[in-house]
Amino acid sequence: MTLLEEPDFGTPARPGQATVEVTVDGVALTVPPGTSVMRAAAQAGCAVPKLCATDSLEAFGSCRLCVVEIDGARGTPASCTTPVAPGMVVRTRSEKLEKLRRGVMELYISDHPLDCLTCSANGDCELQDMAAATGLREVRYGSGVDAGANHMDLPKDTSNPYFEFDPAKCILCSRCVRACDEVQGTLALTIEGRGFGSTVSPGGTDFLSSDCVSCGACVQACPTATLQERSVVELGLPTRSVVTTCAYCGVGCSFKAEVRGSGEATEVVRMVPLKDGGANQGHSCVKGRFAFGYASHPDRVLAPRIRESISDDWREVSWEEAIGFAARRLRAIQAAHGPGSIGAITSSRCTNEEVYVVQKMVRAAFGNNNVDTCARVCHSPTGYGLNQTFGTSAGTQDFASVDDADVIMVIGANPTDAHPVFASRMKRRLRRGAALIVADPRSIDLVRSPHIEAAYHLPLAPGTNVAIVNAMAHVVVTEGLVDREFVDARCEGFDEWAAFIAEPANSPEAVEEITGVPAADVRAAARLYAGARNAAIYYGLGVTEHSQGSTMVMGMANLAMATGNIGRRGVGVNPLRGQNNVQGSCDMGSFPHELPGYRHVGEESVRDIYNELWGVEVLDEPGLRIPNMFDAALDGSFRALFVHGEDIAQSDPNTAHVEAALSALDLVIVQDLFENETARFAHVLLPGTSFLEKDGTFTNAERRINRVRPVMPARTGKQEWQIVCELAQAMGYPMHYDDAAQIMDEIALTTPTFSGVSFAHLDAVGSVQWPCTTERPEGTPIMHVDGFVRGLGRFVPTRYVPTRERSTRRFPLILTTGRILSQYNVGAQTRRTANVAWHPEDLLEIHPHDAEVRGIADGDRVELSSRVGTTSLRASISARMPVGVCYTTFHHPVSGANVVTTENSDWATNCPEYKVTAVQVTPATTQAAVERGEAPVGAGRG
Amino acid sequence: MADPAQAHPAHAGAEPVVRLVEEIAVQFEHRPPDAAAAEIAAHLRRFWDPRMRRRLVDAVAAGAVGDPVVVRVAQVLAPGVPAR
Repeated sequence: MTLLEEPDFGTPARPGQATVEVTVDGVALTVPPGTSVMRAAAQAGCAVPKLCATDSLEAFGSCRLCVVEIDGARGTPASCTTPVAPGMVVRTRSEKLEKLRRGVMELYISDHPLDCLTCSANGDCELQDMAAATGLREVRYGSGVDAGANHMDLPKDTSNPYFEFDPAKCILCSRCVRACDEVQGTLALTIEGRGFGSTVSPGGTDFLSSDCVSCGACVQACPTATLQERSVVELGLPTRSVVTTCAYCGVGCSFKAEVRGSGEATEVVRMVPLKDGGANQGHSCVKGRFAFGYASHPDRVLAPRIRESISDDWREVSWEEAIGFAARRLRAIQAAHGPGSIGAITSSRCTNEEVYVVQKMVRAAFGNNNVDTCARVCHSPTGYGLNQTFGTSAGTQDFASVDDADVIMVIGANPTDAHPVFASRMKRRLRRGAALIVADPRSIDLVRSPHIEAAYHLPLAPGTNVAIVNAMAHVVVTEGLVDREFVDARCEGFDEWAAFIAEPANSPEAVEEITGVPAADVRAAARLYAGARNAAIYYGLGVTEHSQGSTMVMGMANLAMATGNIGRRGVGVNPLRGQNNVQGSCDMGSFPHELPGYRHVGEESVRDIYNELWGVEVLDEPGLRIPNMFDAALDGSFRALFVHGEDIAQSDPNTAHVEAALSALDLVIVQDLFENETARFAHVLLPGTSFLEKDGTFTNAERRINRVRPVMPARTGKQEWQIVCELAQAMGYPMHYDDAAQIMDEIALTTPTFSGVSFAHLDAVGSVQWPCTTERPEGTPIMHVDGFVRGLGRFVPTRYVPTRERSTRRFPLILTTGRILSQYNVGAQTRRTANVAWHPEDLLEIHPHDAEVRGIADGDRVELSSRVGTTSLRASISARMPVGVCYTTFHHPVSGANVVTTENSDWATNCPEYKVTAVQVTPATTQAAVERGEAPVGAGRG
Repeated sequence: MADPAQAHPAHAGAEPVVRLVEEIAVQFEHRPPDAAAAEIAAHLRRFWDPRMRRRLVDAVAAGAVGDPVVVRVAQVLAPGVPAR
């Protein structure tokens, strides 16, 4: 494929029917009201020259290059800022217009370095293109440094690790400033100064020190080489594109991977977000756009390794030897300890096809249901809670739905850090007038950011989510705010639930002491949510990773049903999924109780489908979940584990317990890009493929199935699904596919909600949201429109039960954990990129009062202890923390946040309670090793 | 076999399945005991590996559980759990 250049219509499309008839250069066409003349002209095939306009930004009208003539209108209006009118007749070309445009171009070129031949944007520069388009042949004012006063000596800003800012090449079109405002919503850039002294400025400092979040929207918007990717400067312009999907968070952005070379010599020059991307519509974050260098990092494991014992050195071996070794030992363990003594964990970073074959290997070759996925430790309560209430284990909306929300309630999520591209979309809606409610212990960035302020921030105590959602529902029920028409027609169980929720114990006043949130704020927030035309809930791991995670998901579903906020645009209950393919890994039958499509293993009719196709008898009993696997490893009934693309030794709670379990296993097989923390306990290390090498699909948080296309051949020589098939075959179970498309064909054949999905269909339409059936090939952006998947929506009483994790005199603070923008989960990828410039280590955020009484200053190394372990990290004193609560991330193994998190978990799903750990924080003076910032110390070691 | 009590002090003296079922049982405390036991047993059948149900039944038989609802859960489950 050659370089994919997407058309630029100059100004954004307008919604609505095409009803306005216009004629451009003799071409008649009909466009929606509000469409600019520039866009209409581009649609008519008469593109108007432009510099300050691009169709991702609202018209600005500064460059004056896009002037046109309109019958009956005076002068030569700018086509970008002039909307069409019925019967309008436009001319984009005339001698007068061409003279005007050349005059404009002369002025631009007179203050621009004429170094095109050595410029990194040579061949990809709109200024260059426009000079050609306007027929510029001379510059009467001189050019370059000969033109008198100019800006060509301004110094470059090279502070950002991914892009450069060269103000000498700037034409002051403001596209970068507007991209930061309109697309990203950070407002980090401005035009500083006036007149000739005007310059683009990241707030009077350099880019790295500024508020810039390095999303790259400014770089993408820049029409010259003023803002340019360093990779383009160093490697040159790309020569071809491959459209694929990001492998970071659950937003699932579509990208053009722009590369040079082919085959093994392929080199990624840059990642450019796809304008047609269903999830991201041309936007990206610092991770997706820039942090792809880990794929070519020298730490990559590229050849299989084995060892008899974890105390031995690794031995690099052939694929055949590694797979044979693993298969023999798996079978030997089963022979000695029974078929249920082995199992596997699938990865939410891998494709649907890879996940499908892993769960198939477990069910068909291992002969058990001991398969689980890393969603266990993040969104398994979403699956349980939404299935109980709505009948399906997925969010209700597409991302675009937020554009129609009038009230947005964000609970236990920090979208600007963890789901930044969706956050930008949400912020755009908030700037346009939607009201915001944030329920979060911390004052996250969304609470107050440029042009956005939450109507209500409910800073609840960690672990009291259910009390808050019940209190809001109490207000809805007792103040007559229920949507009776919706409830009567669409739901069941309302009366019992309403009687429960109306109990005085659920009132805002009654729970104020529990939650710490003023009752008046809860009442006002509930009225705001219930009174909105459209109110939408967005939530994250601050909901699920609690002892009542599943209860809270059901509580939110109750609230949405009671107020009729389900089944149309602008409403819904929407999980913001953590990893790129959490949704997909769950869809693909990764849970030990479910076959693909969330069908319980106890359903005979479902098992029959697989029994017949796979030629085995799928067990009708659930297998072990991840935490159960650890417990069973310690009781000796579970002896071998295949870990596919997950670093459980770093990501799972209570590190000492996890390490003890891994140490107890007879065989650990790890498949990963790197020798991760879990690999310390492994006997077989199988190299994995990066997303740039994979062929398959990811499913994002809005159920959107996107293609992942190989940009380069697998550096390991094999696709991961091939390796899994070979392992299954070596164990005696025949499993073979010619390619990944065949695996999706099998998924579609056996899973009703995927019956319309195939690679060919996705290649034709771009992406689809499941359910995608042969009857509904376009997919399903909004669920539960005419009825719930389970028929009637089910109200479930959600009694608040406090977590047993309490602060005590010994551990008086509550620790909660999360992510930051520049790093991703255990950091295996982002720590191997220049993103470490923003977050080189995990920090402990602590309120000034809590720090002061402990004698802790900002930047001090502190000791963080819980009843299960102790670790050490530096303190960051932050007023956004409430008193009594501290916070850290888990991106770096050296700080090991999960050394202190406990075995507590969600009652229904065993999702760990990462968000509530009683801890003590002290200055790090007690242990020399801790003072030096060395390895964390877990209880139970040594 | 590793000793879970040694490997994990927080579990000292407690069978993990007992801790897990007690976490579930507390969510059903507001329900009548028999109804709670029936719902919990149904949950465990749907989501727990049979060996975990076996260990729970064994733990209750060994007198390691005092919660009467959990005891009742074990009684409900006992006929269906596989032998060791």
